[in-house]
Amino acid sequence: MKNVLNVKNIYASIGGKQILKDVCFDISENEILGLVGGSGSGKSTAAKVITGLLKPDSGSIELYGRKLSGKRSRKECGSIQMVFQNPESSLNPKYKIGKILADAMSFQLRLSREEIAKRSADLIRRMELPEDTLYRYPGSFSGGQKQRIALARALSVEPDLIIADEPTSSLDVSVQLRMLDLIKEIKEERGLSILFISHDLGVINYLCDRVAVMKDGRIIETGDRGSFFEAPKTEYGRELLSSVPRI
Amino acid sequence: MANMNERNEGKVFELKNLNIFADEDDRNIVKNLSLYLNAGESLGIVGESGSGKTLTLKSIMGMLPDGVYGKYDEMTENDHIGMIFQNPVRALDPIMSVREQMREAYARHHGDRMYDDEDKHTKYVSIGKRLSRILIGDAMTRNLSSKKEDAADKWIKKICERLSLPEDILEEDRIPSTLSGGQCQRVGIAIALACDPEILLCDEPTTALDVNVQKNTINLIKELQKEYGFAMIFVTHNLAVASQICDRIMVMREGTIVEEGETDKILKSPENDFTKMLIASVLKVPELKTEPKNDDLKD
Repeated sequence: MKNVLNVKNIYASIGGKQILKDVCFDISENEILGLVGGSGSGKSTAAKVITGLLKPDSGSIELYGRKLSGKRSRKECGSIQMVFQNPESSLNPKYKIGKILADAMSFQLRLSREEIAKRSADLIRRMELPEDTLYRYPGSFSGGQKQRIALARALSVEPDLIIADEPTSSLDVSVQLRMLDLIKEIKEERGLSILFISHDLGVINYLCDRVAVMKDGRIIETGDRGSFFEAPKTEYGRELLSSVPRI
Repeated sequence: MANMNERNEGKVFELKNLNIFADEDDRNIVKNLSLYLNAGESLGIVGESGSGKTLTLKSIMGMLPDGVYGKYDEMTENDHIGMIFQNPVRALDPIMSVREQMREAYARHHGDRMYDDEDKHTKYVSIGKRLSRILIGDAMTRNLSSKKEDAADKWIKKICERLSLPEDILEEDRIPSTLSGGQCQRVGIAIALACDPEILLCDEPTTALDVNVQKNTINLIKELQKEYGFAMIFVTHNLAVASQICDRIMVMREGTIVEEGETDKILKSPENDFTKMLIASVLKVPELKTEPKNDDLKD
């Protein structure tokens, strides 16, 4: 299978503190890679480096074999989209959902007004959101609905890769399950590649094809979901696995 | 211990017909909720966001937020109720040192009992400490006598050791933002324990934490329950977490208890559809089977 993303030997620091140390991984087409680790292990920093929000000290990021430079073109920016952890703060509270989606599409795809309206309506329906969603403000939605809106915004610009940074950790377990199902369905429909960041191994096991474990800024283990959950190679992997609450 | 309600044998706490209303439109948020707690027992309240779990706990604590009010037929009076909050960082004062916050909680609950705890040795240490404070120009200007300071100091040291909090968090410049989430939660637990609780209310204490920190926190609360013998109400949206810690579970939906019973019974033979849905929402993880293949791979 073709590699969508190659992350090679990334070193990155924030405020002079080294956060990422020699981070390497790749994601293939139509694959979900789960990035697992504790708070402060560097998961979100890795996401920031890949999206171009943070410049790495060294190392390279390739999208479909093409190296992404420090200053990215409009198309390169659009090809990697992100869904953030906190749905409250990732949507502009003063814009109606219609405008939030339209802004993303008109900037990235330069579509006509009619086309934007049609696509927005389709996305809203696909995300199982209420029909009047486009005319409402983010404040009037529940956490789960806001996360689906954020996902709709990410999908609206037809990205090659979506980075989802703990998108369900602020949701109830029941709402979380519906969101995960939706991500799975969308991935199959569109052949998307997803980097799914989470500290919850239950979620990773439910959703991901492969797993990478991160600790103290390094990737310490990667493997298929099956082999990781059957026999993690590292102590830390085992510790994480044994910590999951079970019924 | 004080204020034990002796009419209810074995019961340390009982609440009958709690109703919570919104000021604005008199909407009934929590409807006719009754619960009881036996000594040393853990009761889980499980439900989705907005079902009224947190408001129930807050009304027991007598700290309902503005905009809602509660009514009940009967509630056991008890001064020894501690509470642990969902967001460990926000539950603490952001600009007060962690040590001062622990000291304040202890002083609040032990104001008149401290003298009993004293022994000569601590008094001696206290004079030395006070002298050194004066010498290095660090005046402790809190409204606590030297004796009270000692008892609080002793308690803080003991509780930090018990909760595996490193000693350096007690330095004067350590405010909550300099601690990790797990550490803040343990400080929160320490403050809740300051009142020698007979009842501990836990409001999603692990939701904001990493899974491995979550597990440690749950184990810690379980151990503390054995040591201190308090009864506990544990609120969570995750049935798996509740099943690890609770003897009984109440399932709450839109302000109403839809099902309650022993944990095993709820998990094995749930009757309500909502309970079944909650059980189905717990994502399964396979059990660990084999040992790590290679020692070199240990991190």
